[in-house]
Amino acid sequence: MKNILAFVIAMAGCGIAGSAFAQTCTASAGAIALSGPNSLTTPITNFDTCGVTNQLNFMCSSSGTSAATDAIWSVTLGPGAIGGATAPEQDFVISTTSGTYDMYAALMQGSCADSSPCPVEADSNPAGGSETISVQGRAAGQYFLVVTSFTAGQCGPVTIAVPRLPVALQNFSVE
Amino acid sequence: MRNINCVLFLASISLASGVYGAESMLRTPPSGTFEFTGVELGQTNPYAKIHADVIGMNRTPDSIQIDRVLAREPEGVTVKFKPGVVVKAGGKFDISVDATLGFQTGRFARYFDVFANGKSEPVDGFVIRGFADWLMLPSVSEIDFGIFEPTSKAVKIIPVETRPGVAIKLVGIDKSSAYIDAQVSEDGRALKLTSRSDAPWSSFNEEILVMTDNQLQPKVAFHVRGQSRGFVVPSSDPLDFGLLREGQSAELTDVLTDVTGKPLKIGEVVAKSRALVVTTVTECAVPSPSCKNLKVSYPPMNLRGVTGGTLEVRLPDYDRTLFIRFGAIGIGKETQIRDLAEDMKAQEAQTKSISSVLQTSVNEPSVGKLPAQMKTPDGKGPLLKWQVANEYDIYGYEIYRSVAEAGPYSRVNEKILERLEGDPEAGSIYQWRDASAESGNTYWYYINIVYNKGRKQQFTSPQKIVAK
Repeated sequence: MKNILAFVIAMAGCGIAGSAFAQTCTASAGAIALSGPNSLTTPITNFDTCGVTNQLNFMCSSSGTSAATDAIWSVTLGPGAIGGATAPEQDFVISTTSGTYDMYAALMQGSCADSSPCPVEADSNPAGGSETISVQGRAAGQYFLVVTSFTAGQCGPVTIAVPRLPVALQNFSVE
Repeated sequence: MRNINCVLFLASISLASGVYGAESMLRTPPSGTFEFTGVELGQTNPYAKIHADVIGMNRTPDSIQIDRVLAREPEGVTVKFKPGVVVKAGGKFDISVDATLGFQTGRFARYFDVFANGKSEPVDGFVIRGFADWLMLPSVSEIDFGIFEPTSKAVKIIPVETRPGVAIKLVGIDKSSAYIDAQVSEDGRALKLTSRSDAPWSSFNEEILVMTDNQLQPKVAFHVRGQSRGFVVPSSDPLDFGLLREGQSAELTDVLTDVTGKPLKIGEVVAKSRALVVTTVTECAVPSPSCKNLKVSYPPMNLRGVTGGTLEVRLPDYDRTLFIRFGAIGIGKETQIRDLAEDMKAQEAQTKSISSVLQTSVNEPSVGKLPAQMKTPDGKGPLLKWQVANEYDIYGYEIYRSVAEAGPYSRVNEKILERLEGDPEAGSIYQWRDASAESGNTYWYYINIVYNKGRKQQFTSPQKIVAK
């Protein structure tokens, strides 16, 4: 057996002055830690999930297992949110141009388990519809954004964006 | 003053050829064998009984004999169809589904698998979707109870939000919590949460169910998370191993401290999880009678996806169990993990490059996308018109009416007006007529947004009209 040993000691900066209690390492407020101009018309990324394979079988949803392709992004939530910590910047919008791709998206952590569900899941729309992952109220830290489907063989082009602009009323009248 | 640091030891990351344990890999079905209709249920309420008449049409050139149709979440679900039915090419078969919804509000999805005779894997599957519209909801979707010590009492009062104009009150507790005592306020409009002195020592993420007096929504769910900290405290909870590649092992150490300063005795440690992890208890780096290291070792990863669970640490001196969540996401040896921040930088660079080319070659404004538009409804009564842009994650709209600006208001559209299909950024133009308005009366109207997850938000200020 070949062993490659890598010894990493992570001193997570979670000291609590004046307290006898240790704290968990995910307690501070989170936001999407990406910088630079961004809007729905300038997506964070365009990616075709047909270019990857099925990576994850056991998802955090009670709907169980997935045999579709999985695209996985590492994302850090923390200080430095786009445009400040206001509500519209707290969403990832995942859309597709494929009318047959029924997406499921989740924000996962290693500690997700059957008894400890994924922080956020999105499965609102049928094939062709977009999904929204809201990170509002999530603790700072590293997460994994997974885009997949619960239907085997499904994949397609996806766009991930962080909306700068919230839903806007342009006019309202009663006649 | 004392500082106790969270110390995570990530050690012994090894690539090994060994395979650990065995886990059946369930599979989701390929799509496209059948075309299913009758799967969109529209609007209902949390805890409602739902019924769907689903029709599957065989899109293949071959006949298929149907053996089983199974719900992936079978609890409380009844599926009826004609077992052994042979569906010819282009032919159809009927499936009847009855189920009771849970606490969730907003869009929901229920997955079903269809098996052909003699096949262990499904030949296809369908998803029943709908929208659970609420009458009552906790004022916050997830209640952060914070950290409490079982020896002291922590209290939180959580008010509820109700749909304007609807009579509904909380009346009693249906499902309680081992961590929190719940009590309905006298007016039935709030829930008082009090920490329990006998709460288990662990972090928690609980669902407390409370009964209402309205049969359209008989229960309301309150999601409470927090941490009950006893005399023995782990340095980390949860223990998050992050991603582990196939064949990779890892070890994390949680430092357990008896904060009373007493010598710490650790009894049996039981790991309840999909992955078979190994735990060992050792002395701390700086030896102290009140400190122990709990090492948690993942064997070479052989699972894909979520693998975690809970460690149960027996504490004989306290006759207690300390619960610590842990987990790792198993991925393949070659699985590519993209960095979203890096992808964004690359996308920006590409966008700049394209826009500079466009600036030099094309000097015309781009053509914007047009909003989707609803046609004007026939009939009499006040006509409400509104235009919306950036409709991402919007399910629809509610219309509220009152005879006075200050209210009380109640919803006048029986069902939520669903968002128009179209480009969400370009938005939509909506029209809705209040046919129930009486001629000559003065009314005030406002619009509410309804999001896919069920959250609602007032969208316009009230507008006045005298009905013609």
